[in-house]
Amino acid sequence: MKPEQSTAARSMRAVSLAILLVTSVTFFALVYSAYQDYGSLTSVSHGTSNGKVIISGNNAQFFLNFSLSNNGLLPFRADMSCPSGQPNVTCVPASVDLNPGSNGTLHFVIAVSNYTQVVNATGGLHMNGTVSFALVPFASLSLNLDFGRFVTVKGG
Amino acid sequence: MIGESYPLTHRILRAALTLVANLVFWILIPIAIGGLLSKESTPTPLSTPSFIYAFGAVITALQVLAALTQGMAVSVPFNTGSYIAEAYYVWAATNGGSLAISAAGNAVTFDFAPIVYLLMLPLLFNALRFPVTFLLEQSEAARPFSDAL
Repeated sequence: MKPEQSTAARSMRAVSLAILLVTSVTFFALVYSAYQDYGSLTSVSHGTSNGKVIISGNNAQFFLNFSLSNNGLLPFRADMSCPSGQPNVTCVPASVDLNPGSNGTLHFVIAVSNYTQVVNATGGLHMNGTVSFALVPFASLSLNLDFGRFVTVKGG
Repeated sequence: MIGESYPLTHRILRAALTLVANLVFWILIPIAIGGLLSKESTPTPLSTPSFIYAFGAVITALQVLAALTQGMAVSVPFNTGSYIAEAYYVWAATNGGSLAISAAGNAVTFDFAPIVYLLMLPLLFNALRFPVTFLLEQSEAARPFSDAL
């Protein structure tokens, strides 16, 4: 006679299936949110952002605004900052937290002192900084970039 | 379940399917991923084929032995050992959930430790499930039926 599966075995199997189900649903939410937020970020890089430059004497201030939207299922965070100790470059760290379905703007300010000398000496503007994106609380991506590549000042 | 008798052909067929599935999942796919990552100079064990082959062989062997001894008490340590090895493999291959990539002169860091924990949770639970179920079933089997008295 085939022995009946015990209550313990059935319970443990049920818990195992429940854990697998929760894990699968969480991964689906994560992948879907990452896909949706990637679309939002690429639209930022293609133009839904603006900024202005204020040059005062030998100092320049770059005000950058990035419009972001969270179309995913998980909270999304974006941060921008630059390391202290860079010669002639300071910045105000910026951060924005977006709940699912909400929009927001990331305001980032970079100040460059002795602007003209810096550009002439280095042949361009180099401002090291970090951009990070996070799907809270599961994953985060940090990029160390040269912000100078994305900032140009047009004479007028 | 332990104590149930499975025909030899059933166990051999299950072992063969287990062998193929494990070779694909624990060796071929990681080799492909490791190849992609090594191009971006990411320091992870997945870039080391010997790590993949060693752990893949251990996991596959334990899973195949568990399939061949299905229904026997000896399958419990094989199952438990394979799930523990899989959990460690996931942890080591993902560097504990932190990968650093250098691409086009920029440094990129990807932190995903909670995802790694989520991947390891079912494996660790299954490693616990087999011995706990076996012990509980054995203790229940040791109790006499009340109507036999």
